[in-house]
Amino acid sequence: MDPVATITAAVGTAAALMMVTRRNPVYSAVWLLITFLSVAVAFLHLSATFLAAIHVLVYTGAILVLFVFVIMLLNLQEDELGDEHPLPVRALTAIGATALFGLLVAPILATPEFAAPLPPAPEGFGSVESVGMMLFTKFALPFELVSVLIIVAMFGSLILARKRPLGSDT
Amino acid sequence: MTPWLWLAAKIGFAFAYLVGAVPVLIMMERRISAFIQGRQGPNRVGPMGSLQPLADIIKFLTKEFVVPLRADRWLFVLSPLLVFVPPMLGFAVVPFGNQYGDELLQIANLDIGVLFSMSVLSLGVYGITLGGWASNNKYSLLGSLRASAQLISYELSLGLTILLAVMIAGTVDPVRIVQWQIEHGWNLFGGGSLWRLPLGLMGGLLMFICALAENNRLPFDLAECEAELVGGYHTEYSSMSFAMFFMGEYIAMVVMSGLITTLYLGGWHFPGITDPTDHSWVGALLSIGVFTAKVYVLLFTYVWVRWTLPRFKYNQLMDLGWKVFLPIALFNLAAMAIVGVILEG
Amino acid sequence: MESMESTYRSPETPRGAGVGLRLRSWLARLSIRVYLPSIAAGLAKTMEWMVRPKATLEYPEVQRVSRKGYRGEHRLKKDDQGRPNCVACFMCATACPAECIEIVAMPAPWPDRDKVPVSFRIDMLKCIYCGMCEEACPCDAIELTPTYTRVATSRDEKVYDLVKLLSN
Repeated sequence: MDPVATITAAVGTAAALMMVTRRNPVYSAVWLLITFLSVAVAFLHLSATFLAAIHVLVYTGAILVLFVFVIMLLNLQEDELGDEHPLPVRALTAIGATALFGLLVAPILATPEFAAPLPPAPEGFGSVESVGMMLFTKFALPFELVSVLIIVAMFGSLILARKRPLGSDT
Repeated sequence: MTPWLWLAAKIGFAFAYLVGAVPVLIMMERRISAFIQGRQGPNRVGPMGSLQPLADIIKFLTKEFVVPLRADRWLFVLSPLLVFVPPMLGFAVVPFGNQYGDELLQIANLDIGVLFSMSVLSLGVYGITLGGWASNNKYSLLGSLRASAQLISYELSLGLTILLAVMIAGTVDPVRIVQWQIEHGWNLFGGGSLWRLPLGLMGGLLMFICALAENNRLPFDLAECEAELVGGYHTEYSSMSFAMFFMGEYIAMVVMSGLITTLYLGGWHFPGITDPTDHSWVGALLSIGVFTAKVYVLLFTYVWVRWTLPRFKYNQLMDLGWKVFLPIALFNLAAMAIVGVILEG
Repeated sequence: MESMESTYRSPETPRGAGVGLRLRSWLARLSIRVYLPSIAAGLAKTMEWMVRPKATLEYPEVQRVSRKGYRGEHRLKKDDQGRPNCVACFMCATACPAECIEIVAMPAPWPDRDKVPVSFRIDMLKCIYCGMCEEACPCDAIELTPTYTRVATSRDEKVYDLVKLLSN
């Protein structure tokens, strides 16, 4: 067992569990922050340095800040949070989520590569140059398609934020 | 010396460098503001008032630490730390000097280089946001909201201007960016090419302005503007916890100045003073001195701008960030790409 | 920045202006829109203030030199034989708008005058330092000095008597 990977995974999973179980949304965000950071550490540990930096920059530095921003803008009080679901519902949800997770992970666990130790990363792996090369040669099409997806999301938010519905002239 | 000892020495030096800058900055802030307003400023404690920061620290230490009733205790205590730590981490990749022997005067030579600083500095917003929320005070909350919106807005332009310097030098490694500038000239002046001159000037200026916004400095200190928000996100903080916010902010300024120096102002090199091939201790000290001088020129400008320009309105701040700086930064980047292709082809 | 524009009107180009004037007017409008020239001007102004001599005095070490004619504390002048010039004519007490001068006279022991003051008291807390006493005095006996700092620990100390005024 690789100690760094184990600790990172343990911290990340524990923080994720805490994130899901907190009543207070601000605390959820704080635990999510810890989860994100441990994911970044995991990336670093796998020599994916560029990915780690971008993960911190985009997810913790921008997206989670937006989450916190919205949570604080609403600033829900204790009595506004709504009733908790009854215990059986929660238990069922937990079992369902775990089953789905198992379903996703099982094929990965079954592959022979998983059991074997990781091969050492090739020279320049995970650097800005190599990731950029990959994105603009081998994965150019998915990369551009993702940008289309983001544009669609942007248009969607623009339409939602419009003061008047589409089609009205004034 | 072993690598570990070297690392410890460099970390110790960087820590002392950053924390030691805080009293100097307090003094600069107070004296320069006084001079600009035609006053003398504090000059009674110690020679020329140089012990004034020490008096301030003693005052902070002896005050009572108050946690407001119904404040969120955990986050309230944690947030000053969250403000304090990220900028410190951001300094890890900044080369603060040339080499001594084979040892680079930089804590960690990561292959993601400046991207590391960018990503770590983006974490600084959490301390401000959570601190304001945890205070359970509507002024603090408003200050935090403003701060978080402002920081995400200006981070975009800041990131793009950092990328501009990266594009000019063709590498993300700060040591090699400095090296490139030694060979070709400062990035601020386009790295020796007339084609890139306007882009470099624009990028450097934009980066400085965005740095002002990122560090919550006037004219962009909407997060703590006392006229409408009492003290903004740190209204409820007292004694050392307030001092932590205070120090975190100043350290972030120093680190940001270090980044600007590295990316646009030629890093630790100044022609005629430092010699890049001189790896003796004299050369190392000289290069640290030059780096420090550049950083403090920028810090002086920070203070100077603060006491010159009035505060923006919040909508103006947002307009400026999204409708002016972001397009300019994007245009700059696109123009740089085209110029780069022309210059190479 | 619409709100900025409304408060900060750009100069209009005059009708029928030549090319040069049009260009200059356009540049002026541009410089207002871009802000940077005005920011630079502001920075230059603050820099000028930074290096100019300060108006503040380092008070206890450096004392302000009062301008000529400054009206501070009173004193009674003496002639070359050490006698007070005052002839107890009550002109100053009459002229005083604050009525803070109180004189008690007695016959003079010297042949050149009729009376001398036996007591001459000025309540410095009542005095408004207008200098009327000085103007009213026919013998040039009372005078306002430039001294403006004098500490007292009680009200009584601020009532100056003959001895105090003569030695002032």
